[in-house]
This record gives sequence, structure tokens and C-alpha cells, in this order.
Amino acid sequence: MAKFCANGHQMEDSWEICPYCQKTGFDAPPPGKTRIESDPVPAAPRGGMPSPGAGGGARRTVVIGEKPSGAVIGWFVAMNGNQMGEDFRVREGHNVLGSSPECEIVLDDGTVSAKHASLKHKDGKFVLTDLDSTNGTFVNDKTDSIAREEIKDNDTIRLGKLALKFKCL
Amino acid sequence: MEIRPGVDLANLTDVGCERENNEDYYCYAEPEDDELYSKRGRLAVIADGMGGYEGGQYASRIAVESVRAAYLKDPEQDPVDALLEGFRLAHVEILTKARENPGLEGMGTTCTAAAILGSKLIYAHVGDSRLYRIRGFEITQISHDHSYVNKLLEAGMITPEEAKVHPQRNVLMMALGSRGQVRADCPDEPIPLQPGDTLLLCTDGLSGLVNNEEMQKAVTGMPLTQACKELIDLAKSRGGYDNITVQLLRVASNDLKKTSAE
Repeated sequence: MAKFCANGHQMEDSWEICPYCQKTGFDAPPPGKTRIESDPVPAAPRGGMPSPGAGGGARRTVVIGEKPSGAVIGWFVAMNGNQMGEDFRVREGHNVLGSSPECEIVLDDGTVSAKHASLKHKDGKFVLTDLDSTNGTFVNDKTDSIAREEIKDNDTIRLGKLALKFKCL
Repeated sequence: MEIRPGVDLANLTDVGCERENNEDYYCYAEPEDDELYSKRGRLAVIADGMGGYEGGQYASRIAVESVRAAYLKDPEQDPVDALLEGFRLAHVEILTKARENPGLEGMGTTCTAAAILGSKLIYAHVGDSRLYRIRGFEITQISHDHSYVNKLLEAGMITPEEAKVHPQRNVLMMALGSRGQVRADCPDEPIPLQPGDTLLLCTDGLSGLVNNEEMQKAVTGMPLTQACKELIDLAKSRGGYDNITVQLLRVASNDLKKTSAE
């Protein structure tokens, strides 16, 4: 009979400790952010073979999390690219900007990562955070990509090559 | 852990050929307590995390641990409801941890959980990891990918051939921890299993590079431990772009009456 650790991971007979579930301080948050220049959503193919659709009988779908729908407190306006002139609502709380359809602000631009940056409104301040984007997040004329920075009304931010003007209420 | 007779189990994970971290996580669990076992049977969970440098690993682990804990907690709760409760808890915990820790922002994970209860299968699923049932030469995909490409495919907007090379085939519509509405799939009714049926759970590191027929052939043609290795080696020989995880559970003929999900 094969050998399994307490989490049901199959082990070689010679292994004393399971390499997949050594105690790594799971309950404690991991240490601070290590920045890498890569896209937060894997760039390698996912689901390369299409799903053939429903198999294995009828299924039902259950909602386990709702879309946040806070009040509108500001806008971004695209200043260049495919969506030039288009406006994007910024809502109370947390807004993720990126090319992935699951972002609050979905941007159609080849230089924008799937989840590129986030804008959080807290205590009257708008804080922009880069989410390990491939091409960086910039504020106004600065040439260094930010990690996190407060932005104000009329600031222009740049995600990759896409420029967005910020307006707040 | 001791696994009760009645299933053959094998599982294996591999970082693949291009990644530094393995963001997949998985578990197999069955209650030690016989009474709880009679209500819960056996549980296998896999999750494929994503987001940032550390977030992906963290999210997949939260998902697997939450689902296992919720499933094994209250024997009186309906088993499918218990799985869904685990998904809900995982989703909330991932969102909360991401909010509290800037380094974890944007993390999320797929999660596919399957339980064998008597001669029935139940499952819950979010994302594009997969659950298959292999019966002889027939392989059936039970889970349904929550991917953008699958949505286009189901709407008839692209062909299966186009889907294989679609530039956005890496885009997920839903994951635990993702923004927007998150919905989990589960079966309307428990799915009957037959002696000899094999369940295959895998992350897209496998299903993106190895087709259904190849999975079926490996599973029916060799011992399960060897089949796991074979499938992972096959994905790696084709590039192994992503982490690869596979779990196989084969139902033996003498186990079907021992738990009571009928």
C-alpha cells in the first residue's frame, strides 16, 4: 500500500516528511511583498484544451460571493489607446484595474496586465497600488514605476502605455 | 495517514518546467471516526492559485484547508452544502487576507472538491481545474470550466479548434477570491459511481497539455501511481508551462456499501 502524509499527499517510502505540506507558518501571513517583473495572472496557457461542456449529469450553480456595488466616487478617462475618451467609474472601496474581465475597471490595452493595479479609497484618500504588473504603473510625469502612491484629482496615471486621467468627487 | 480499503489513491504535483513556485495545492481526507466516515466518505480537493509572488500559493492552500475543515465539521449538514460552505469561507478568507496584506492583493484560486459517498459522487467547483470520471474506455468531464474561452465556445462564437489557440485562453471568469460575483457549480443529484470507476482531478497544467484520450489511456493502462507520473511527464515533455497536479481515485468493488449517501 502506498504511503500518504496526514494531508493525503502520496509519499515515496523513503520520505520522512512530506515536502508539500511542511509547516510553513500557514496561519501567519507570509512575509512582505517580493516584487517580481511578471504578470500576476499566469501568462502561460491555461485551459489550452477547451472544456467540452456539461458532462456527468445536471448541475446547479450557487452564488458564493457578490459583486461589490459601492457608490461612485470618481472616474478615470482613457487619454490614448483603443478606449480613448471612454470613462470608467471608480467606486467606494477597492477597484482593480486590468485587462481581465473580472476587474472592476477592464482595460483593453496590450501593455496592461490582467490585474495591473488597484485603487483604494480610504479615509478620504485614493491610494494606487501596482499589482506586480509587467509594464509598471506611473503617476504624472514620473518615470519610475510606483509600488504604492496616493493620487489626487486631475492626476494622470499610466498603466504600461495606457494613460488615464483621474477625476474624483 | 491510513486509507480505508475500498479505493486506490494516487496523487502527485510538480512545479513544471517554467515556474519558480508551485501554486497548486491538494489534499485527500477521510475522517478517522467511523461514524463521521459513514456520513462523509472520502474527500479529494485540488486548487490552482494565482496572483503575485506569494499570493497564489497562499490562496490555494486557504481553499483546500477551508473546504476540508468545513466538509468534516458537521456530520448533520448536507454534504453538498458543507462543500459549498467551505468554498464560501475560503472566498471570504482570501478576500480578507488580500485586503489586509498588500503583498497578497489580487490573489485567487480555482478549487475543485470531489467526495465519494457510498456509490455516489458529489462535487463543488470554481475555476478551470477539472474533475473527470473514467469508466473503462469512456472519459467524462464532470466539471465545467469557468473560463472566457469556454464561455465563447458554449455560446457558439468560436470552434473547439479556435479555442485551443485563443489568445485569451488563460483568462478565468471566476475564481475564489476574485472580484465580482463568484458562483460554484455542484451536482443537482449525486452522480452514481460503478465499481472500477476512476475519478481524475487535475489542474490546467495537465489538462492544458494532455488531452482526454491520453488521460484515459494512462489511467486504464497502468497502476495509478505510475499513471500520475506518466501524465505529469507527458505535460512536462510538452513544455510544462504551469504547475501540474493530478489526483486519481479508483473505486473498488467492495467499498460501495460502506457509506450512506443513498
